[in-house]
Amino acid sequence: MNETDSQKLSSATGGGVPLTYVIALVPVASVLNVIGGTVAGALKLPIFLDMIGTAVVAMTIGPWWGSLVGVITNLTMGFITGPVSIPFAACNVVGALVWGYGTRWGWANDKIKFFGLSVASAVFVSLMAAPIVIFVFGGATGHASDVLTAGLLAAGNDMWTAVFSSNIIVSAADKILSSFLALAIIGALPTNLQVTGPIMKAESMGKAVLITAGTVVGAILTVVSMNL
Amino acid sequence: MREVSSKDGLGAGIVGLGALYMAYPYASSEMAGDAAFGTLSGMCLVAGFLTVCAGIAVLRHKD
Repeated sequence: MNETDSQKLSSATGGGVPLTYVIALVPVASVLNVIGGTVAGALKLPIFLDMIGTAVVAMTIGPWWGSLVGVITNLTMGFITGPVSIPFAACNVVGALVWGYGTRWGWANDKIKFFGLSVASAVFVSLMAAPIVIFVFGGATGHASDVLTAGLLAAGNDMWTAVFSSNIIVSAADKILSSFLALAIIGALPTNLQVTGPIMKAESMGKAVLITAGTVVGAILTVVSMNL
Repeated sequence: MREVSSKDGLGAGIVGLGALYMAYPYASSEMAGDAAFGTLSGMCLVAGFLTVCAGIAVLRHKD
């Protein structure tokens, strides 16, 4: 980050963010989530893609604004595609809190730390999702990852291990992908929107892109191989 | 132009959690049928935990 950007960011973090930006960004991020989630569901992809907007808002204007985006997303999807999405609003909120507070604590300012932040969001979201999948849905929600859960159950694992393991594999791929897509979107936004904390630029990230691509491809291959 | 702060964000998050509480009865009745009570309890437990987190964030918020 050059000095001008640092100065802009410093002055931005000292103040607030214009209400107009918030009013524009929150609904757009929610729509981005809904579109991503709907596309992933329609194509039966083994990822979710419904937290990209949440990540953008949480990392730029704050964790609780990200939570609001998550709630709007899952409530909207609940009324469009059925109530299955509504309980998972809690997962979207948890993801927003991890991304938002992680950025506030300086985890979005470095490639390796940012990758760690993505993995941390996957772990916390899975920790929230597994009990919902088991207690509310009995272990299966109709998502493509259910095949992985069934495979792990057939291999002799108990329900908790199978659900958490399948969820963390799919969630890791999804959150890492979402984090870096969010980073690319943030790079196109005005610098004075970054009031949560410093966020690294989305350029010269060759290794990070390789790590991300490898993780995503690995997770998809795992799920596909379980399908065969 | 009015600017919003992290305190406004906390308020927005709590409003979102309130909206969740309002949607949960609909979701549980649609999904669970006779077992709606258990489903509703579980979802409220999760939302309650997040509300507690929001409360702690408000308490720790510095003006």
